[in-house]
Amino acid sequence: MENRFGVKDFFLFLFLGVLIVMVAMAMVQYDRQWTQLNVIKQELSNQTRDLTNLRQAMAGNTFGQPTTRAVGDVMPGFTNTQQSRLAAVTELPGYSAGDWMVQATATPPPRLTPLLDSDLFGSRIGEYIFDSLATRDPETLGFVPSVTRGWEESADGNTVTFFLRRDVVFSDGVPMTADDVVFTFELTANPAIEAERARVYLQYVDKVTKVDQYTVRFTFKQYYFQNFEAVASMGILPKHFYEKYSPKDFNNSVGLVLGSGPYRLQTPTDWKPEPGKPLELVRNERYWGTRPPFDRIIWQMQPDPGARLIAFKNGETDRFGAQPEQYKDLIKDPNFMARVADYKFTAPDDGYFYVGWYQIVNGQKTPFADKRVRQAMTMLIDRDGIVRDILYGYGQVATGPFHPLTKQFDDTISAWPYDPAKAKALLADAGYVDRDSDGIVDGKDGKPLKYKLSYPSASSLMERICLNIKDTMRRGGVLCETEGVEWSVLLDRIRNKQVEAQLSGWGGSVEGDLYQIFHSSGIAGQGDNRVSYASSELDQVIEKARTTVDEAERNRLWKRSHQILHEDQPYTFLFYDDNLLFVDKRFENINTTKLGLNASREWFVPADKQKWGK
Amino acid sequence: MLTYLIRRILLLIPTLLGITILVFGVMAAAPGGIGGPLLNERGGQVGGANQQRIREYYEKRYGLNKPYAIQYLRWLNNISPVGFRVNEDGSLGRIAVKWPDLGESITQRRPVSDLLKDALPVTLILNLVSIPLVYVIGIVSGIIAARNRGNAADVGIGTSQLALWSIPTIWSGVLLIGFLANREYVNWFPTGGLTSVGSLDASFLPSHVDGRWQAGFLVDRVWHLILPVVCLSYGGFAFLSKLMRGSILDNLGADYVRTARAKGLNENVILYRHVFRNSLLSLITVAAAILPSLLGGSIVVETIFGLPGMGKLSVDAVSLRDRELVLGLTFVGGLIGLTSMVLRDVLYAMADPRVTYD
Repeated sequence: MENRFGVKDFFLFLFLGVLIVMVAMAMVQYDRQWTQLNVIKQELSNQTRDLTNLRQAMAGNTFGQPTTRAVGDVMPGFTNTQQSRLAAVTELPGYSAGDWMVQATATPPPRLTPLLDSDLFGSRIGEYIFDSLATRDPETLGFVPSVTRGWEESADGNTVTFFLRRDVVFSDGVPMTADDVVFTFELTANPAIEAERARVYLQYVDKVTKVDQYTVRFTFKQYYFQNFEAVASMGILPKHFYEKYSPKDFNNSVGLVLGSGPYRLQTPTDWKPEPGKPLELVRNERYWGTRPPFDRIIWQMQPDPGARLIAFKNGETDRFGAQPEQYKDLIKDPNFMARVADYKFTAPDDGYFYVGWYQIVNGQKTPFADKRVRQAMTMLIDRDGIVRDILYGYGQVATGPFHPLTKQFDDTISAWPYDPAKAKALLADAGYVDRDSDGIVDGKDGKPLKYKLSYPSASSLMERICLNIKDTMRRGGVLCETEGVEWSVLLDRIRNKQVEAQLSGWGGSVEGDLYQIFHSSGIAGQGDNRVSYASSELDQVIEKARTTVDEAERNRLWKRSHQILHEDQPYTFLFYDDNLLFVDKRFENINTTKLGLNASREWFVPADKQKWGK
Repeated sequence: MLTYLIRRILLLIPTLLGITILVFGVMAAAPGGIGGPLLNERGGQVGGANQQRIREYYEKRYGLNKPYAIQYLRWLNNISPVGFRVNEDGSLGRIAVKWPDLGESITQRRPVSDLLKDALPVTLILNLVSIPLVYVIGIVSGIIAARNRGNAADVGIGTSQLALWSIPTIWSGVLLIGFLANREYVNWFPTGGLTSVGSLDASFLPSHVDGRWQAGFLVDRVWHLILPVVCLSYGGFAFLSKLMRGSILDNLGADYVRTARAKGLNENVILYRHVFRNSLLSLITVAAAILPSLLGGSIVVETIFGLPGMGKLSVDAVSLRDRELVLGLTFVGGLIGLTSMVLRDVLYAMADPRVTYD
């Protein structure tokens, strides 16, 4: 009975436990201090470098000379620049820099190192941290200089020469030169770097040459209309920073992020994903252009959409992207609307929803190989009804693969109507009539016209759309079975052409290429023309458009392709859905542009309404 | 005892092999292919031939173009502490003693061990708070119920704990956030995450800065943990409490208690010095589950409160067919689970002299 575990021992163990926990916590705290210390050390060394540069500039007597501003002057012929637009914002009444912008996102990014990230989130962060050679102007949709003073394009479009500004510095104070641009493209092209996706976009680049310290020339193997966008939109990486890492270290890194953009990570090397910890970007104090308005941009991680909404209602986050059914209720809530502003907008890169009609399944021709059947199918889908009832009106019916805001879109085309009578006539024309009076149309062999409509099972929106289609099809005398399939399985079936009809979405861009999904060369093998649609006229138009340098002529061709696709209906293009966004009312200067909402770099919070960081 | 222990430990190896072969086989047979969604996603919307190029690049990179048997043996070689060294280009080198390598996640392209290191602290901190809470409340309420057998207290504890046990976390979690972390009702708690905006800049302990009090990092962290811990623990009371109650009642009817009572011992002494200790024996069986459950997360709680730990990691790994991650998680989970079972049997023999393995 001597060695029994008594109350005294219990307290002893409790005491020991508490002691251990406290030691552990002290270690955590020490670790935090150590990280902070590193940040300060880094900052100090950067500042020392700045001071040295400043001193040299003063010794060389170039300091304060009017020439220092001229280095960033744009070349003649370029009226707008990214900076001129940003500078205009600072002139607005009530403009004030400061405050933070806090937003929520579902999943933390697995890694932030550029080139390697495959997810959308990584590229969204990249926009804040890296600068590209040119950006799209949200009003004209054309390219305007960013870190460049301008560029010269050869008549055949196969050579582009960019002239860099001389005042651009990376966030550690080192100036950006042509070497950095060349390095960025060499790094991407290096097969040891796991950037296969980025390489695909740059496959037509033949070589990148440094003409002088601030001039870079790109030569392309052949003209392709997306060549300019591909090189102009790459984030420029600093050579002095990234060349220290071997391809293996680079591939395995998670947070090697240093750029010349308006924001930066607290430390360029130490970031790693930590569950539950927000991702913070801080303002780049050395930013070469117009000072960005917010001191910090923060992403809170919140996978649960319900909790995301409550966090936004509580004011813990500043913006919330709503679903149509949430949006329609929320805008009627006076308490909610007193604190927030709502924005409904559409952007070219949103893409469209469609039903693809597979003309060949398992090597056999399907009824959809007949154009009349496809047109009938489109007229048996009540697209206005889908937008009205399922999207609550927050969307618009699509007529083709191009977004209405782009120059490729032909606005003379009106969508096929929902017209069961006309559809039945077309079906009868194609040989499908109700032969046994059961309300279902039958083919010449007496078999009823029926098909299976597959959709990704994870999407409840798509499920509702499919059920709506099933309903209107049945009323038109066509049997449609719906089948939700897990995405990876569905992709496998699509690749092997084992689905009959499929509901899906496709992303868009300001100037998209149709070659991949509608050119007949994509039918064979693993191509993306999975519906096996072939039109020799469309093939010619696409081929011509891809190599046409003149933009107006190219857009005329794209419009023609839009008309052909509208007539042939290889897909039934369903709709473009609106983006529904709520933003805290303290933010001002939020406008709709042709690219969607204007960039958050153009938003600001007036001084008296600022909430964070004071 | 020692031979028994060695036998049990040696038995672990074929069991673990069986588990991993089974999991590997299921992953290989799953429709959509290993890491399929990701390889597809990487291809994204780039064209057919280009997508094929990207797919092939990554299949080669992760050795997915080799026969399944080779893929499995490679994985086995990597996790084995003794095996062939793997060269940079993927060829096999000399046999050596090496550090086990769990491989690299296909979807996140990071070492599996790194992902475990990220997810584990979240799960550990939640479980280290909630499991002791469950045990203390479960055991204490079990004793109270046993002492007041048949009384209002017994019935009250029994029904209320069963009622709690029946409430699904997915519902209560949303309600807790919706009412206790909502400005429209009471906003006492944060909606999720482990830290508030700005608390990483704050001091560690509460402090007085610029004329006002600042909660500091520690208080902020505790404040964030309250709701998830409540969600994780309330369902666990009923089981332990019932177990404890049954066990105490069994012992109260035993001969030695009658003897003790006949000796004239105080009822409290009987209960706490004799019955309580003996009743804890049956809890050893349950306690063996503590170790694995410390590491196992709850997907529901983690998702609702935005604390991605082991639960979310495992579910995501399975749904994205991230084979290396699934294998790594099963292997680690299996190892810990089996070890704690051996540990339980040993503890049982130590605590209860009636149990021997010889």
